[in-house]
Amino acid sequence: MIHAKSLTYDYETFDSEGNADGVVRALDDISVDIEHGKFVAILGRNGSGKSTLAKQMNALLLPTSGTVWVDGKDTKNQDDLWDIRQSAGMVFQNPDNQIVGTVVEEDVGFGPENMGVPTEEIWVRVNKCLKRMGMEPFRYESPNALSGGQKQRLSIAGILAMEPKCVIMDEPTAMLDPGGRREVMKAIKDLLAEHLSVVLITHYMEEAVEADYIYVMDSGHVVMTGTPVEIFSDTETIKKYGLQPPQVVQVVDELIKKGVPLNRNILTTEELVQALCHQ
Amino acid sequence: MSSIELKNVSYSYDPDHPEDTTIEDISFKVEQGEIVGLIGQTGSGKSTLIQHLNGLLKATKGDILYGGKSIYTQGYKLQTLRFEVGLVFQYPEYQLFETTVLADVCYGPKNQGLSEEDARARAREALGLVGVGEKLYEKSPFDLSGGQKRRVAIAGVLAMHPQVLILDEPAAGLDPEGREEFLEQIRQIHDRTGMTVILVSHSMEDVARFVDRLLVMNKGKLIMDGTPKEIFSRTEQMNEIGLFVPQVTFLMQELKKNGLPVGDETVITVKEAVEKISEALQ
Repeated sequence: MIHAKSLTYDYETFDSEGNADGVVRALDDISVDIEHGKFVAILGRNGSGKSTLAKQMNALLLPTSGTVWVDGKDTKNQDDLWDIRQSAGMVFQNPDNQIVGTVVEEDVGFGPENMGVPTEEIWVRVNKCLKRMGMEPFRYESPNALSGGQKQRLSIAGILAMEPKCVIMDEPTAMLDPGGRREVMKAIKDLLAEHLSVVLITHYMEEAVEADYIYVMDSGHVVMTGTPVEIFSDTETIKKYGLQPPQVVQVVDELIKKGVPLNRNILTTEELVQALCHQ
Repeated sequence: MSSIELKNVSYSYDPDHPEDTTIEDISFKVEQGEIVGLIGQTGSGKSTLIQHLNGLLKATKGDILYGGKSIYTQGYKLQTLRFEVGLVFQYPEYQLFETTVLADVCYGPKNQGLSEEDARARAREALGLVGVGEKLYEKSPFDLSGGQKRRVAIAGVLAMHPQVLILDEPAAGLDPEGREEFLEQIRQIHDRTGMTVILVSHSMEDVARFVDRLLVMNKGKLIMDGTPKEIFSRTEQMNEIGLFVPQVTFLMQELKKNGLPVGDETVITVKEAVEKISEALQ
């Protein structure tokens, strides 16, 4: 779905007079492969390059060198720009910055309307996407009246209305309460059930545990890749990159150190309960 | 002496409909030097409540006492209150505006009427507390990383030497290591200065290990007030109001339900959980 090969990205810094005074390498020779229909999490400390990478995935930024293909199209090819943005939609951290409509249903229709979709078809899509994200009951309300979790579901519905193949989410849960975070995770599962690909950037490790595959970034490099079990069982290494395993994994890790015979592939409460109570 | 006391405070954003309250009939006392967590769903009234504590919003009903004195008495100096009760909003880094880091942190103390020299001394001290080194002093705040910017913004409030520090989701958007470091730093500042700290948070795991006492809000009302252990033992109620409990608390409850004798005590940290499970397995 999305492939990056030897992707490098530099940006210029400016002094107080606005003259270029340096170059920072934000991404350094990165190769990433997001398969169709998969759930991929990108982790790493603040400033490691995660958001820059996400913006390369729908041509908001273009490589300094190397190549990114979105659904087979090279992001450097200007003619394909709209196709690329349509097939890879993006959800940002602050829901208030990405809602444009004054009524929920209008906000969902904004994307397809911009794409020149015929009015009748827009309404079909709006109805479908509101239903898919469980936002039907709120369709005539003002987005201001929604909770954080509902706002993010509305943002996702708006992207779905453009019929993308992949949704890239840059810390969609950072500003939400625990209930809102669960709503977004449920929405992600709904997208996967419909065979969309999801790329999730997050600082919440409990969310990353549910991914099919994880990339860990540090100072512009991909430093770890693997399944959640592979990543989180290596507690020492992930700590080095500013991450912390979920509490359940921390408990497993400490118990193993105390000599309790547990398997390192345990990531969730259910799995640990199973291992300690039913084996 | 209690630091802040609220007596039956209600607030309505609509003066024509005072019954349409955002927060309703809130009463509690915070003692000087306490670390208190304030939790609740988005829209439960947390931000409205904390804006009352330094007089940014005025209660429609009820009274607020600071150091035993009502802040609503005629002639009360609200400006002084704002120096003593420092409020750090969400994403405070967006409020930086000066040309250099040092100038930004000097802004508050200068407003308090301190000389340039004294303001600088306060700024240096505050930047030291939050771990911002001297080599950043002359940089533009806009050239710093997100985490650094946030530290500078908090230093701007600390430089005014507040007695009470209120932080609205100070760790939002920080990576796990950054979160940990940041909360640890706040605790050290608390221990050193004896400040009262009120922390608004959406992370149950963070408040479980950081605060001594939790206030829980739901739909504009204060519905619980107790230690984190007391609060998180009421799992069902916490689930109902969409806050849930720390992962490790839930884990221990599930282990117990499935027959592992881990005891009745509510567990809220990884360390306790490891101890209880080890005991149960022996």
